[in-house]
Amino acid sequence: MSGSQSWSVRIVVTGDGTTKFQPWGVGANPGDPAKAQVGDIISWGNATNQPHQPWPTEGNTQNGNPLASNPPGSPLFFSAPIPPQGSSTPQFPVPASLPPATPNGPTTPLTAGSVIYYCCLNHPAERGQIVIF
Amino acid sequence: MTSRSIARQRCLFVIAILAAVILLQIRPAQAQYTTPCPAGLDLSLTRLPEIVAQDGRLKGTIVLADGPRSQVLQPKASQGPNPPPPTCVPQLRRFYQTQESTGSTNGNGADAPPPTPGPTLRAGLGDIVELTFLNQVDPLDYGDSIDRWENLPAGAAATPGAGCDSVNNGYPKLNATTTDTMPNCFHGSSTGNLHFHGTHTSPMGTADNVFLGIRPSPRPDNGPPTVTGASVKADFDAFFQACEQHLKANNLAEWPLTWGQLGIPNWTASQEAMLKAYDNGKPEQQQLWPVDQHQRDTGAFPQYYIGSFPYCFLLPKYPGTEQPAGAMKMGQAPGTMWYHAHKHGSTALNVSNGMAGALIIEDNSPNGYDGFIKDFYRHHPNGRKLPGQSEPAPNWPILQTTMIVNQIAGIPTLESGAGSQSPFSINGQQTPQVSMHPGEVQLWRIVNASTISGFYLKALPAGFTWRQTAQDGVQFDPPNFRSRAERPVFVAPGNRIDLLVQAPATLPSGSAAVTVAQGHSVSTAQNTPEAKYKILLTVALTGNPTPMPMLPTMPKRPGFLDDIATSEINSKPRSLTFQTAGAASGASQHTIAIDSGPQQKFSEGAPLTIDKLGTIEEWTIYNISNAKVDHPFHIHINPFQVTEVFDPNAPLLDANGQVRFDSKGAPIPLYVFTTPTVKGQCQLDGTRPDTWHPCPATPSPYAAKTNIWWDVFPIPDATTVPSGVPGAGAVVHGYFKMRTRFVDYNGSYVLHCHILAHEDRGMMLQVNLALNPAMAPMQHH
Repeated sequence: MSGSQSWSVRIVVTGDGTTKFQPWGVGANPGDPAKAQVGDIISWGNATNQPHQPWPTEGNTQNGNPLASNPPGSPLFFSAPIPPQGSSTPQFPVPASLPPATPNGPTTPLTAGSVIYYCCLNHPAERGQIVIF
Repeated sequence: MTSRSIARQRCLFVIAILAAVILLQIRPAQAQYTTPCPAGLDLSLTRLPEIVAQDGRLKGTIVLADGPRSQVLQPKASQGPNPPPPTCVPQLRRFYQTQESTGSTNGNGADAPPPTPGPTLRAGLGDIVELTFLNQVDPLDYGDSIDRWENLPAGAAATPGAGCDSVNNGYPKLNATTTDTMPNCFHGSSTGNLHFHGTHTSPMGTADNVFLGIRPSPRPDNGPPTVTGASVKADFDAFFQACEQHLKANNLAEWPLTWGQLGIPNWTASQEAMLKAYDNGKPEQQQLWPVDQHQRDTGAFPQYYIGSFPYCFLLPKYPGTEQPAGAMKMGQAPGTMWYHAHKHGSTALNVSNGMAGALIIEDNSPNGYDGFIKDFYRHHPNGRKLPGQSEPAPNWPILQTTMIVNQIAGIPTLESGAGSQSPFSINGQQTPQVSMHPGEVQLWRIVNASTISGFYLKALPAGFTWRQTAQDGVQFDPPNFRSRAERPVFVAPGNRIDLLVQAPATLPSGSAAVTVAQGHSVSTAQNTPEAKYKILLTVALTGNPTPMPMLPTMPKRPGFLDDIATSEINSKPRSLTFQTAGAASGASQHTIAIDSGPQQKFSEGAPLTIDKLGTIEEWTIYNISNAKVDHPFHIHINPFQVTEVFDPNAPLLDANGQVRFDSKGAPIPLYVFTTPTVKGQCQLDGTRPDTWHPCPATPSPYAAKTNIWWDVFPIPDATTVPSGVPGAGAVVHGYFKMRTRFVDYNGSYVLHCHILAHEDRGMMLQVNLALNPAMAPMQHH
C-alpha cells in the first residue's frame, strides 16, 4: 500500500463543560494529541454549538498566544473558522517544516517526535497538539 | 538521502496529492500508521452478505455509514521467504452496509473490521427493486465538502475553485494558472446515492437516477442520526406498494416523475424542512432547497435529499413478456451488475472508500443464463454444505464466489484517492484465499470496482480450467463461449467478468497464486513481463476431491441480444473524442468532444441529445492522448456492442491470444511505422490517417456474428509516430466503434470515463434522450 493518511479531530464539549480537541484514533480521548506524519491530511469537526478555529501559537509553544498573522495558504493555516456542527476547510496537509519564527530565520524540519502546538483562535484556552510520528 | 530531504520530498508530494490521483503518477511508498492485526486473522475470502429478492421484489435497506475499517497489509514479496506477519491499517471510511449507525463514529479503531463492500443484491428478471437508502455518515469526521456552488454573481465572489473541496495552499489550484472549478472538481463527498451499473431501466425519478444527492441525516447534539429506517418506514412502504402497482401494470412506465406522484406528502414535507434547515445561514450558491423547489415547480423530480431516499424500479424481463405487450425493445440482460456511489465530484473518493457492491440479476428459466448453468450442475453437484444453507449457495448447486476488486485507498478521506498503483483488494482483503475442492467447478463473478486500474488476467495457474461465460453482465453466446475459452482478458475499471473455474485434482504446494498485470491501458498491461505480475488471490485446494465437468456450452442468447445489424442503424454516425491535456504541466484536464465540436467538460447545458426513443446509432470513440491510459468509456442504461477496435500500441498475439515476445523478452508490436519484420505485423503510415485502422491480417473478435455486449470499454490509448519515419511526432489516435440502441426508457443520464477522478473532474457528458424540453435540468448530478 502506498500513500499517506487522513486523520480527523473532533472538537467536543466534555463532561466538565470544557471544550477539547479529540483526535480520532486508537484509544484516543479528548485532549490527547493527534498523531500524523508529514504529508498526512488532518481535518477538524466541530461538534459544539460555537464556532472554533484551530490556530498556530507564537513560536510553536504549548502555551503561546495565537500567532498574530497566519493568512490562508500559510503552512500552518489549519482551517477557516469552523461553524457549529461544521467541518474544517481547507484540508490541512502536515508540512515538512515549521515556518521561520522571524522573517529571515530558519525553518524547523518536522521529524518523528516533533510537535505542532495549536489553540483555538476564538478561545485560546483550548489547546491541541499534533505529534509527528 | 537525509531526513530533511525526505521530508521535503514528502511535502512536495502532499502539495501535488490530487495531481497524483489525476495524472496517474506512481506515488512513492510511504510508511503508514499500522497496528498489529488481531490474533487469528482469517485471510480466506470474505463471503459477502446478500439481500435476496422474494416474491418478485428485492426489498432491503442500504445504509451509507462511516467508521473505522482496518485493511490487512500483506508483506511484500521483496521481504523474502520469511516475511513478517501482516499488519493492519485502520482508517475512517465511508461504506455501504445493512446495519444502521447508532452514534458518533469517533472512536477506537484497533479491532475494526475489514473494509468490505456493500451487501450483494440478488434479484431476478421482472423483479421490482425496493431499497430504502439511508445516509448516516457523520460529516464531522471529514473536512467540509459541499454539494453545489453556482450561479455566481459577477465580481469578487466569483473566486476560481469556489465550492470545491480544498487543500491548504493546494487543490483546487493545480498549478500557477489552472484551477478546477465547480461542478467539475472534487466536492460533496459525504453526499450519497446509488448507481445501478448495468441495469436497463429508467434513469429518472426513483430508478437509476445518478443526479440524486442524498446528504447525511442530521445528528442533533452529536448523537445518532434522526433519519432512520423506522422513521421513514411507513411512508416508504406506502410508496413501494404504489410503485409496484404502477410498474407491474406498465413495465416501461417511468414512474414516479414528480413528488406528487410519490404520494408521501409527510416525507416530502420533512425533506423540505430539513433542506431549509441545512440551507439556513449558507450562501445562496450553496443552498439546496431552491434547486429542489424549482424542479418541483417545473414538473421535474427534485434531486437533493437529506437522510433517506426510496429507490424503486423494475428489472424488465425480455421483450415478449412485458406489460403492455409488444412495447419493449431490449429488456434487462441477466448477469453480474454492480452498484456504486455516483455523486459527481466524489465518485472516485467514495468508490475507493469501498462504496460498491454486486447486483446479481438472475434468469432462472430453463434456457436462461442462470437456469441453464444450474440445471447442468444439478446433475454434477459439488456436495458442499455451507453453514445455515440447505444448498451450497442460495438455490445454486455450485459455489458462486462474488469478488469485488477494488483499490482500497491508502487515504480514504478527502482530497485523495487510490494511488495509481495501489494494490487490489478483493472484498476488502489483499490477496485473499479462495478454497476449492480438487476438481470442483465454481462460478466466479468478478467486478472491477477499482477507480483507476484495470487488470490483465493472462491465465489461471497451471492445472486450472476456466471459461468466461459473461462480459459486463451479458452472457456469451455459444460461439463466444468456445472462442474465448481460456483466453486472456483485460478487466477495466467498471468491467465485470463471469468465470467458471475448475480446480485441478492436485497442486504441488496445495495452493496456487492467481496473478495479474495491473495497468491503465490494455497494451501496457499486456506488455508487462510476468515477473512484474501481482498476486490477486490464492486458491487453496481443500477437502475431498469433487470431480465436476466443465459446462460444455452456453444457452443461446435471448433474441434482443442478437447483433445490431448495419441495416438497423437509423441515425447518422457519431463520434466522441476523449482527451487528456496538460498532464506534463501538472494540471491535467480531461474532456470530451462531440463530433467536430470543442473539447469540453461536463455541463448540464451541453448535453448529447438523442431526439427520440428507438434511435439506433453507431459511434466511433477516439482517444487522442498518448498517456498510456485507455479511458474506460461507460454509458448508462443501454449496453453496446463493439464492432471494431484500433489500438496502435497493441502487441502481436499468438493464436491463443497471448502476447508474443522477442528473444530479448520485449513484446513485439502489432503496428510498426517501418517495414514489418515479423509475420503478422502491420505497417502504419504516420502521414496517412487513412492507414490508422485495424490490421486487416489480424483476426478480430469484434466482427463475429455474435458480438459481445459491454457497458464499459477501454478506449485505446494513442501513440506518437517515432522519429526517423514519415510523420514523426504525429499523434495516432486509438479508437473503437460501437453500436447501441436508445430504446425503452427516455430521460437524462450520463456517459463518462470510468477512471472516476476523470469523471469527477469533467470527463462526462449528459445524455438527454427524448427529454421533455420544458423540464428543469438536473444540476451537477
